[in-house]
Amino acid sequence: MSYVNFVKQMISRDLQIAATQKHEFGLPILFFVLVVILFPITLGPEGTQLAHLAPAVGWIALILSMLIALPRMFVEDYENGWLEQLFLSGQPHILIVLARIISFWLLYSLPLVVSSFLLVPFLTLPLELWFVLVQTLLCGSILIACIGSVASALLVASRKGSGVMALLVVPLLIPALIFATAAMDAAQMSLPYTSPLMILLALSVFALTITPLATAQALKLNLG
Amino acid sequence: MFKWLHPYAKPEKAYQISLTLYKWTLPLALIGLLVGSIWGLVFAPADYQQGDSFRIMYIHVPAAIWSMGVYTSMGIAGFCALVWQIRLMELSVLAMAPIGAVFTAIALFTGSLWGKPMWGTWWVWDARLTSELILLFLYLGVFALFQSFDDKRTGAKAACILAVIGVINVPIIHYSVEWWNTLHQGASITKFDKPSIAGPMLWPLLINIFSVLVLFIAFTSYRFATEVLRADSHRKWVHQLIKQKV
Repeated sequence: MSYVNFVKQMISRDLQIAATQKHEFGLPILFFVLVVILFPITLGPEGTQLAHLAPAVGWIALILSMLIALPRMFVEDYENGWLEQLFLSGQPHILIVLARIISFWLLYSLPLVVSSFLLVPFLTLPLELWFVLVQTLLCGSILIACIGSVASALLVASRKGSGVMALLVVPLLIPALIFATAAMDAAQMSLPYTSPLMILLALSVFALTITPLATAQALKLNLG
Repeated sequence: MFKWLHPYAKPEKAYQISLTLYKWTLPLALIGLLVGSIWGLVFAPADYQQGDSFRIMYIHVPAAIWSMGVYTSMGIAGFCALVWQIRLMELSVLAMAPIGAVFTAIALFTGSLWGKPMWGTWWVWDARLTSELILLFLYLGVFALFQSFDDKRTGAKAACILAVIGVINVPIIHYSVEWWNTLHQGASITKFDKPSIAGPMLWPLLINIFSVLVLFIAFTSYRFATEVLRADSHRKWVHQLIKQKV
């Protein structure tokens, strides 16, 4: 079986399993919506201030909802033994991890990025700024999925995961946030925003290349 | 080289060496800190711009320098532990993490004390301050990750993986926040040309920087010896050691 086929099969398996338990995937989106709603309620409903804050709200909501979803990345397959069988199957471990990162991104991150459209009516974010925000969120969510995969793999066997998860993921995300806000600031002042966006994309590609190694290592560690 | 290094990887040998190292380095560090601090705090000339308040530099700069140095050495030790599967290296990562966290906390605290009279504020979201704060969280992450495992060995290896990832990320964080927003003064010693700080002020600072390094070595070797004892508590040489002491 070629490597590409292997990754495709892994992803399609993940998607098929996901189709049987749809309710699990609604929760992070619901959480995203709730975080977004909290901002106009706590800050008061004045339009200009909300529109100014909207990109930040989108990013914060994305990070928090991803943190909710991340612990589930490997746990189920770790507990029912599927992961162990996969690691014994002789297929490259990096590909197993990479396939899981891609399917996780498709199942959890992409819906969150799409649901950031809520910011347009709720926080009166202009539509052309939303297009920029979506680009930063797309690049950033890949990065979060990559870094989160390492944290999720490290904590797969631990019971006190969620607090430590935030401690592991958030500090490593700071560069992404900085370039994302740089892009959004430039777009808000209608300046060219491509260069910070490109750096953000470069960071995601870099993470996609490096982190599967660490994730595979961490899973091997937990599989003993 | 590995043949020559190999005997030192034995726990009892490592324990003895680190205790000897501790005995020699601790007095050296304390004397150095005493000399450097008294020289810096009392005898060094006052700054023409900042007056006497610049003297906190003699605590702040060494702590800040070694907060980063400790993280780097932790990452290198973690990398060696993962690649060559050396158990003692894992223990050394655990020995270093809290010390580095304390250095970082000292650097942040003294920095904000220094910032209040100079910049008029305890805290600004400036490049160096932000990256130092993130560094503190990285240290805490390494330690929290170790604590969240029931099995100490697995926890130690997990901490090593995180330490290595952190080392890759620290330069990225450093430069990204540098482009983001900066107010902190530039480097004055680690430039390649002549240092832009006067000799009578520089000497005590160099002494303190060196002494903090020695202090770090002393504390690390002591913590490392303790970790070795704890990890090997079921082994024969530890039982013999306890019998000798009692």
